Amino acid sequence: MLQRRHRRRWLAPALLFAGMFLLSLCFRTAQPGFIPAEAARNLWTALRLWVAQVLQQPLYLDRFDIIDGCPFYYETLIRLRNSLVTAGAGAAVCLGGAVFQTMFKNPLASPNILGISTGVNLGNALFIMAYTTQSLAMMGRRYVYCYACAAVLVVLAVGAGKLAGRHVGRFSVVDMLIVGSLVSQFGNVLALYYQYKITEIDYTLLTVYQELSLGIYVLTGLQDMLLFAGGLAVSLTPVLLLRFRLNGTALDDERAAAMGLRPGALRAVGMVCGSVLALTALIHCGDMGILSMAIPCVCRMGRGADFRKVCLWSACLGGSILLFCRSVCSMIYVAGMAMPVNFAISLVVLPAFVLAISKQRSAFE
Amino acid sequence: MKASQNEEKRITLRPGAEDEVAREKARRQRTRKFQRGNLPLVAMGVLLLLLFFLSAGLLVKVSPEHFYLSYILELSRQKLGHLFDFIVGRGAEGGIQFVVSRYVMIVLAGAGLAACGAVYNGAFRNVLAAPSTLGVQSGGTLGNLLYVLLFVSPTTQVIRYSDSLDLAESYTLLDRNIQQIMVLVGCFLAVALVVGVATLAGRRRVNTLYLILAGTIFSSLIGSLVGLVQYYMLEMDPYDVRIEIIRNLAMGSFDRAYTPEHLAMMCALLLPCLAVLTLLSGKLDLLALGEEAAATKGLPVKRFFFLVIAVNTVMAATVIAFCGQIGFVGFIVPQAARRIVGPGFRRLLPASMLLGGILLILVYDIALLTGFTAYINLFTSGLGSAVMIAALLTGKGVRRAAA
Repeated sequence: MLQRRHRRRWLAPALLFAGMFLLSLCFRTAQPGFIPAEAARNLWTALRLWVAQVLQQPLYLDRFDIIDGCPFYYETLIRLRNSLVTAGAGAAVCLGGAVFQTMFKNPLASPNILGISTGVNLGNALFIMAYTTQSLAMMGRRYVYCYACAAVLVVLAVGAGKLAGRHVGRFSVVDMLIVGSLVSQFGNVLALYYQYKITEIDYTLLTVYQELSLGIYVLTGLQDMLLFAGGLAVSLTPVLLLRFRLNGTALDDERAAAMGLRPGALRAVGMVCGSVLALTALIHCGDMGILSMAIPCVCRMGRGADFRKVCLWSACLGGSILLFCRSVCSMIYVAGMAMPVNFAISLVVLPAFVLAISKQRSAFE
Repeated sequence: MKASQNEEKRITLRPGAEDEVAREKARRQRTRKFQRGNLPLVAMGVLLLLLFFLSAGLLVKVSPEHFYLSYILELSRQKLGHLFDFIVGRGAEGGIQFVVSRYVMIVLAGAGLAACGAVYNGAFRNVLAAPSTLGVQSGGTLGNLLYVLLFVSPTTQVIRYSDSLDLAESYTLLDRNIQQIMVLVGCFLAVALVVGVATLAGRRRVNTLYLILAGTIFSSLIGSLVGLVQYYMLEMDPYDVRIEIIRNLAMGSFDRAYTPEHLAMMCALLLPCLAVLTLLSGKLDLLALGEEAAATKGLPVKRFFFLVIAVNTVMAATVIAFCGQIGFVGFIVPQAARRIVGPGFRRLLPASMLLGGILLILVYDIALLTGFTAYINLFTSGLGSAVMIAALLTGKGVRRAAA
């Protein structure tokens, strides 16, 4: 009985997530439209053809005729990949936020305060500085720049926090956050400076920078998808395995130690994993505004502070909201380009976030 | 009997006399201490004046191909002559009035930002608290965005004051400074909104967490809105001048507004604020003790807190409107000043103002010599990060350095 109730608890968010995923496949964005029947047929055809290819069936030989009979076939396939990355990114960034909020018990805590989004922006700017007009053809190198810049900023913030806590004898979280926000301020100014430098080379390069950092292009090549999946797998596994113990980091150190946990080590693991989760999402899907801060906060209001529930709900809700916002934004064309998603996210998430904070007033004081 | 009366008299006299002596001693000690404590302030003042005259009178920028000592000396001599003539009232030659007004603006901006940082550090009892916490910068960005959307056409040409003084004079005061006014209004409205929302959320109590949260959310919202507008402008026309106007506000510079007229406007806004803060320095000490302690000392905490926020907002908004965003000054300077003169606001505030002026003059001079005057924010941010890491390496945490 208890087990069944527990199962039903994770069923609702999972269903929401899956429903939103399927819904996002049904939109057509090149010319806005809603085509569930065609999308289903296209996906079914794709699956049949893939199986036929693997099993070397004669059906595969007729593939051109079959695809000709399916309108919007390739568009649906591109949408599938897009939706996969989007859903993964939304889930990852919110999960990262949930890890940070559980550890620091503060609605402001999110991986971004360690300088991750700044690092990604700086990486994009440096990448465009390095490859100038060739940068759109050298997208693979972008990951190196982005990951390296973000890693440098995060290591700087965490290392300096460690240094700050050295005379007290333990890791000082507040100092690390202070240092992190200062470091990311500096990174922001540096990224801004490189934007000026980019315009000195060529004004149109700034457009490329904007599109990269706002996530207008979601890259869905094989290499990109593999890298994305790898980043998620590396960071998601420890978080899911430690989901029971991460609750212990919310207690003070002595109580956690009395429960047989090692709060310092757990926090370190949580911080690294949360950062990598958010980093992967931001690099592959662009800026997402206050999503990583708002969704875990809302979930904590709705489902309590238990990390096992919060992590599931944050991931599913975050993924669903990002999918929804992207689907809507990708159909709004102004000046011939789709709308960036971060402003839409702010509009969608803000009311719930404000409500959550005003209801939760005692939780964070 | 007589002897006993004398005895009594002596006994009653003695404590009074002792009191007097002790009072005299304490008075002497106080004056000596006062003088000794003021020594750093005097030294900073002298240094500031020295730097001001050196920079305004002697500093010249020459291109590498003209780098001859005799040439540089000749230019410096000329500039010094112009400065002297300007000061004694023999008229301004070689644009020296702009040099002087620019340096005075730099000193004012430094003083304003540093005082802002020092006061916020004390009021919020947090070294990170800065004007940006309450959304001043985002408000300025929003005001600037509105200015660009409402008053600037895509075909506008950006011209510098020094190139077109006659043209500028043909405009009215309002036309010339509409950007500054919009930025100022944006800053005020933003802070009013953030503080209002935070106060409502905290049920009419000022709560630091709500202030920070509301500020963060507002900043993030404005950030994404500006990003959206900039994105569409870029997509329509990558060579659009308006994008540059939007971006320029985030990178502080003293090259956009530096005429005596700007200086007068900046003085009118900044000097009263600095005076008010100096007058209130004793009460700021109380506020730094904490809300409850201040209330028991008879300070109307809430009203005073709002007053401090209003004054600080005016200062920060003025600097943003005329010079753009200059980060980290409010972080570095109070830290350094606190180490020199201690945490009492009676000395900390003037010391911060003087040090802020000194720092910004130095930064501007370095930027001038290296040709980076359009990127003052880059210099101050780099310096701020270095100071922060140094503060960590010397063993005192950032937080404790503030306490």
